[in-house]
Amino acid sequence: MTSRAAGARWLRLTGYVVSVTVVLTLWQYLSAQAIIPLLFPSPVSTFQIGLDLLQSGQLGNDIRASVGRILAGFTIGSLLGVAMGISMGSFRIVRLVLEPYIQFLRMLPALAWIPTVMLWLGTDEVAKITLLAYTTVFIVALNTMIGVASVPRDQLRAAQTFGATPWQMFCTVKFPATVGYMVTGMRLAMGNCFMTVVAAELVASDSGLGYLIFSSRQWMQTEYAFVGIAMIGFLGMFIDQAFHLTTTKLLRRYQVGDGA
Amino acid sequence: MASRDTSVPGRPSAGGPYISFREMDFAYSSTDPAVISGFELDMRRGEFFALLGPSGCGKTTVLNILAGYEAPTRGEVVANGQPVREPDRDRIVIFQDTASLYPWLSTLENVEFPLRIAGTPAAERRARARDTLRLVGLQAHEAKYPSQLSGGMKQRVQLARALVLDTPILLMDEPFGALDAQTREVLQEELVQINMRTEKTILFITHDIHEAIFLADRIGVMTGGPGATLKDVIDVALPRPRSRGSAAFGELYERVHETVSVEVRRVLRLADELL
Repeated sequence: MTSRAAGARWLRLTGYVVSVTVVLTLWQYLSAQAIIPLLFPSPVSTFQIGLDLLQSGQLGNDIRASVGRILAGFTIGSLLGVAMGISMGSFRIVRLVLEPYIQFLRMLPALAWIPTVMLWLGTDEVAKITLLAYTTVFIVALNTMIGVASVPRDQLRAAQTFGATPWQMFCTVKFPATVGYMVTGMRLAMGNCFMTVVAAELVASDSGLGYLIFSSRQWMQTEYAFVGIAMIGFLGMFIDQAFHLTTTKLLRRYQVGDGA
Repeated sequence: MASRDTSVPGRPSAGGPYISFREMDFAYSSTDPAVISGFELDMRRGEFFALLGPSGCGKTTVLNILAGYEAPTRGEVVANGQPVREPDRDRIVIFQDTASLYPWLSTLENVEFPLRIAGTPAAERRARARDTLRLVGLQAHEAKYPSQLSGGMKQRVQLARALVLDTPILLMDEPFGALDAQTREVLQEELVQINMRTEKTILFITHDIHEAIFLADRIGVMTGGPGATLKDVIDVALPRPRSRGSAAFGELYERVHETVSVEVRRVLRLADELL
């Protein structure tokens, strides 16, 4: 690494640390001024409760439950979305049939479906994983479809000249050229998954970070809610960055991460 | 119908045609005016033919029709005894846009690509791709991806990707148009060297008169569109390698320049009248 890049990195890191320290200090000060401290726990007490929950094993269980659901729903939704996007991008008839539904459903948040899905599928894991797959599938499908439609014309023409069959054209040009679009769609979908998992667990669950937040209300344990909120934020940031770094590194040749 | 004698522009005086365009028209749809009309050209085997003309006159369309990417609305195009109906590995295009290289493949893999499509065994295609990369002087860069190469290097990769198949015909669509002047001259010299060894039949689209004179056996000048056609064909009877500074080069430049600029001025006047 050049010294200039190292310098820029230091500056960025310092900026983050200063910003976080200032806000935490302000939060600590304000919570001490609160009329009912119970309703506005300080960062220190939130941290202590978080530590307690971690030692009792409850926090670990909740994290595992939420992350497990997200990974299952995200994976199913991504696979379906890629398959749908590729067929829509490759066959005009499939696109004509599916597009109105996709455009309609992608505007409809998973939240709106929670009561119906519970009636249909009950309150177990299947219902929550279905909701998470739902929130993933359309954004991945649309991005993949756009990717298939955006393969540069000269790349297709070159392969045509070399004598590629339709199947070779798909495997050696269209699919690799679309990988970057798929990954962009999946990264956006991952954000959706974090929002949806909390909602699903608030309504119908006895585990997970959403449940931790919701159940705190009964005993006015605001700290518990704060711990849940903080954990979702940290996990979301961590998984998003981990996804970004892994895909950028492994899929570098497909231009993944070039725009971000 | 005029008799087909040697005075028709585009008709070579000796040797049977290897590529021929006959009474060719092209329009984008039946309601649009013809972009190209009555285009006639014969090319000999092993000939280097450069096509010049005002911007937008349809030079690239002529190339795309010979490549098999577009179909003429009237007339016939024959290459190597076969009517042109679809793209074929006998007629490989070198695009101006280097986005035609596959960015997810390394230099070596890009050159191997046509062999992979043809089902050549891995060891053989690797060896052939390496040989071809040596021919264009890129052997040291085989592991790099297109994004890590300069514009001139990328066009060398495209050339290698075409040469690896041992194709008889190369269709070059302003391949050096986006390069800086120095790189362009170096690549022109390399192309002359490579072609002295490989003896391809080349249709080369350009708007650079110097480039056309430096490279081509004959230069075709197109009229401005709509309804563009071949206006004049000029023989370049200079020995290779050619010296850009010679008196003969300069005289030829004046002649081609005059022919082209009459058409360019005509197109501009036409545009003025329309406004």
